[in-house]
Amino acid sequence: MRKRKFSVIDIIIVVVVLATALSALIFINAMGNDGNKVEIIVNGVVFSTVNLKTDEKKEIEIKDSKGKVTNILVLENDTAYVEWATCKNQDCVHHNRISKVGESIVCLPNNVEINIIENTGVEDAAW
Amino acid sequence: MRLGNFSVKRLTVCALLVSLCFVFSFIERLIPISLSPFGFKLGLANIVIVFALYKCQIFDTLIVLIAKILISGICFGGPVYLFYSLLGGVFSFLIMLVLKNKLHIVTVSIFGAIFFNIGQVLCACIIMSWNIVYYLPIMVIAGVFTGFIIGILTDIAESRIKI
Repeated sequence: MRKRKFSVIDIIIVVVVLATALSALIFINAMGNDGNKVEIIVNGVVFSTVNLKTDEKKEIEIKDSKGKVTNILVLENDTAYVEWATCKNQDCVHHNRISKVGESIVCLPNNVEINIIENTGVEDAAW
Repeated sequence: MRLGNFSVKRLTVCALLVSLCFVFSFIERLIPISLSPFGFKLGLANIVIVFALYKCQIFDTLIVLIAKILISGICFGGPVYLFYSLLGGVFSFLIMLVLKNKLHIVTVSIFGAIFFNIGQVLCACIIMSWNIVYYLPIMVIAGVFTGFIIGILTDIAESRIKI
């Protein structure tokens, strides 16, 4: 039947899991170098790739396949964030600003994914 | 009276637990906290699942779990969330089943929460892209905290409520 006492093994297992996750988190943050491109993916297809670094605040409208605007992405001070979204939960709007390679903002209801990537030398036109 | 090999008591307990899940999901919706793209939540309804795991038969728990996922998926999340929580739910159920008698109820709950999040991330990775794997550490940490709170609440409920 169920264990009545909270034992040392329980504590050790939880601490090990927590430590692993924390170090992975720190590792990811430390490894991340500033990206210079923002890749916007809608329904698994690259919607557009834009430069992260802009001189002034820039707003990008993200549209779904029917052309309806679902999210508004803002580029400012070398970071990107979502300012407005049609979805109910508004998780992407509350998400922190992103600037490092590998960081992303995801809007599940609209199936929109915004990734920071490094310039691969491939021009926008090639996409 | 017997319904196949499903006694009236078993049926009633299952129904009661499912309706409790619904109430908890609804209460939780009133206090929105978001920290991640998956809408990081406490998952109050999981108290019912962990409780059922210890008090009911495996089959009954599975029924309550699936009912909970369908209800919260349809009423509060939307069809996309259904897939995410379905995989997460199955993951957490399996790990909790394995650890049930080996570890304390709070630890079992923590692992349930962690694997629910892992399942969700995995599902998101499959549906969208592998970039989402970067969310795994933060989701695991979130799972430890939510699982801990849920575990303590379930511990209290489990030791006081008799079925």
